[in-house]
Amino acid sequence: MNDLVAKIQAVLPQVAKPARYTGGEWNAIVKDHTQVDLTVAWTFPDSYEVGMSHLGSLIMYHQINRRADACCERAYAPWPDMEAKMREHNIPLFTMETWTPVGGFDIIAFPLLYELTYTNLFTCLDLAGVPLRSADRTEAHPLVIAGGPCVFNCEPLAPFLDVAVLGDGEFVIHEILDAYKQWKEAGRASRRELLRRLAGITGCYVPAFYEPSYRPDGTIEKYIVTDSAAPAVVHRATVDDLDAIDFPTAPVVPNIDIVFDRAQVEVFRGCTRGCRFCHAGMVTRPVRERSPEKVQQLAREVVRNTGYSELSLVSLSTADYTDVANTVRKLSAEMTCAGVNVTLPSTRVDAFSVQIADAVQQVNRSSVTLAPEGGSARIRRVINKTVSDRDIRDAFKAAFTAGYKAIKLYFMIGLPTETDDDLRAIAEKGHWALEIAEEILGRQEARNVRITISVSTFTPKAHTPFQFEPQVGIEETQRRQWVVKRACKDRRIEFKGHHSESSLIEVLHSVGDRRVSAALLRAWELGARFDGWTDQFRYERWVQACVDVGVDIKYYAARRKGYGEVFAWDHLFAGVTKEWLIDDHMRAMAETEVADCRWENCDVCGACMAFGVQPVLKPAKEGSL
Amino acid sequence: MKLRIRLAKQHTARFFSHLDIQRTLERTLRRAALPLAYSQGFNPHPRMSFASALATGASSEGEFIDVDLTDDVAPAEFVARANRCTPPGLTFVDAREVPAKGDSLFSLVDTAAYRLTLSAASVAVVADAVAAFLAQDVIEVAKEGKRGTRLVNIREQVYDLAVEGSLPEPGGARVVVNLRAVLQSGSQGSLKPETLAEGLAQVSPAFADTVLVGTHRLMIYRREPRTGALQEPWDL
Ligand code: SF4
Repeated sequence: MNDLVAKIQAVLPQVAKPARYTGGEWNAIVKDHTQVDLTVAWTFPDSYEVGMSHLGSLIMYHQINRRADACCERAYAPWPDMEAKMREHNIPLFTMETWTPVGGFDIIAFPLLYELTYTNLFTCLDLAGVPLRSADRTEAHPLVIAGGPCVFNCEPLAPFLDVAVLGDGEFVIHEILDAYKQWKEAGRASRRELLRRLAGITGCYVPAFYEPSYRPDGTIEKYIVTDSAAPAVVHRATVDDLDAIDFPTAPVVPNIDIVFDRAQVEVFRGCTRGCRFCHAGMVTRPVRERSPEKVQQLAREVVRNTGYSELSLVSLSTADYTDVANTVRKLSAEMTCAGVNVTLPSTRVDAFSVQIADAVQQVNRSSVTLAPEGGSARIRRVINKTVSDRDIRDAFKAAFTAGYKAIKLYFMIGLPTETDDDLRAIAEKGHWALEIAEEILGRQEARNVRITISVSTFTPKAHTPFQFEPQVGIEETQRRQWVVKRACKDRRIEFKGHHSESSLIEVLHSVGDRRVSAALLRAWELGARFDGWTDQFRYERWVQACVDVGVDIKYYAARRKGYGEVFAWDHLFAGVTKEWLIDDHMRAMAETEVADCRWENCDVCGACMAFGVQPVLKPAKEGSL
Repeated sequence: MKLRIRLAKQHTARFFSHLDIQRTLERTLRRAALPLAYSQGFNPHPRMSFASALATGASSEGEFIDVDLTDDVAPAEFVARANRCTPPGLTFVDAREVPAKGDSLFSLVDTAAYRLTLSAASVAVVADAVAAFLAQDVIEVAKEGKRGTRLVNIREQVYDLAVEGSLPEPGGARVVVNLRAVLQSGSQGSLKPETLAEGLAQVSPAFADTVLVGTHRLMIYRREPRTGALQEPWDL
């Protein structure tokens, strides 16, 4: 037994949930490192339970491991109790599959799904023994890459990343691995040479080759490309046909309870509903559906290979899937007798969606979750959440008719142009639900109905029409929460407000630039870990960090940005052009809605032209259902 | 038909909690496409019942579950098929058919045999503590319960205790001692190995710096109170 294994075994009984670190899951892929040319440590900067729930990670694990010449192993950010033990006993960050130190891998890949995981990236690199700054790494160190939705503005992490990979990973990862392999076989000559090769791949952004300059007022003057190998604007990598790519039908099955503990099949990618605050809907355009035949085939395989008792059909809005009703009905009928439930991750706000959810969601019949996002019809036009008051009422009716006794409603506050009337309209939706409950269930039954109103705070995200908008700030958020809360006048309505302080720090990340990187690092030095977890987040730590390095949070969070400003993410092209974003922002101010281009006319946002793709809808083939 | 199954959990699987094992077994048996009988209701679960929960971190070769099946499967075939679908560390050791209407396993067993691994100053320290322990009739240890702390006589929960072997610890002056312990473990009361170690330190102060480094469950039994005879779950 080698020394590291002995040390790990000695600390495992002393930490919470040791199975987070042991590996040994069904379908985990263990390869002999001496038999492959490349090793990748897929390092999720959050807990095992969150990381294992991420479908994108399962997809990439499969993509890399299906190559005979490469192996991909997983690592997760250790929870603070484990981090302390690792430091105490000199245990480096190690992988689940073979307990190999991450620092010895060729490539460390970080999926970035949520801004408040960034400080965990430092923990992982530091425990791996890898210099935090790209500039300090040598040919002997792993290549540090990152992907996922957050990389579309990865400037706050720019000094720490060698390469950020934008867009769909399925093809571009192989280009990266091939380039790395050539460089490695040629004797690992110079790290810069490797970065130059990678900079030439569509989707690969090498921050070191771009140099921002600033104006006296603090805004960005321009970005200069400092290496001829790097393009002026980095385009996203885009997969055009989901039926043509390999999907993981034998994903790793966790031994412990995780956040999404179920089989997942992706039914489509992208969303063009056009909600103006939504980052995911802007950086994944256009909609590309997988065919129902393929979805059903994958669903059967993944259930057979995992033994899960729940299958989830996932996408940004599964009720929008062309063949949703048939696919759900068919899979449900097939699987229920084997004890497998089919579920949809979220419910669109209308009667149809509630009915589909009800047809399948036998696991949790107690409540249905709906996200109207905006309280008044006016604010919903501003944010382009094209849900009418009638849709909301119909969804409530469908829910109570189906026998639900609880409804959870999600809203956003602090939205551009928002007034107190819009806020009171949020509470009003709760009262509507109660009225409808009384109509349908009768006064007596309706006494037991529970309505939960959860409000989060609008956070501007890069590449969205609302990127120009400020956040309202902590006091104002609290005041607006109070306005909603006070308007909830029935004890059956429960109000939940989101932490205003962590929303503020999230903006620092989401629309921050390279100067913010110093604050991130400082916050980590001051102990910031798992900032997305309310029990771990400490606002004072972030305030202190910003003071220490001279970063003004208000400059990033509270300032309205001009249409003509250069943004830290302008050289990263996610699909929507800046012109379109400006147009759409103006339409928001005019309270004008935009139709969904998958069903209506193209709005010329830029994605299809730039990437040579188009919206792909796939109705079921004649006779196949 | 109902099968009684003996399982082992070792290596990484010893860190599974009781719920983890339950979930993992469900998935294992489903992957193996064995004809599980499901409970009724909106959220059907395979009909399985477990003997008793083992602490997370302990290994075992004496875990028992009863599984209801809708079709007959030869026990040997059941074991072979299930073992092709288990995650590393979890092993189906044996299976036998039991009467479909019998009592639940949980209510049948009340005793467990363990191999405890201790890191001690010397074998003599452990042997002396064991001898002192067995020589007494009453050894009271404080136990946290729902209604506050109370004293429990743990001596009557210990049916057998013996040093089984030892090894010098690599590079150290200490030794690793294996202790075989047969302890009460069931719905009427259970003695945890950690509490036993406390009791040993109480009767023999020299034992105080001894560390319980490993717990391995060997088997579970039903104990005949008068004769002390132990019956394995197969015979119940
Ligand atoms: S280019 Fe047109 S069709 Fe394509 S995503 Fe944009 S608006 Fe939709």
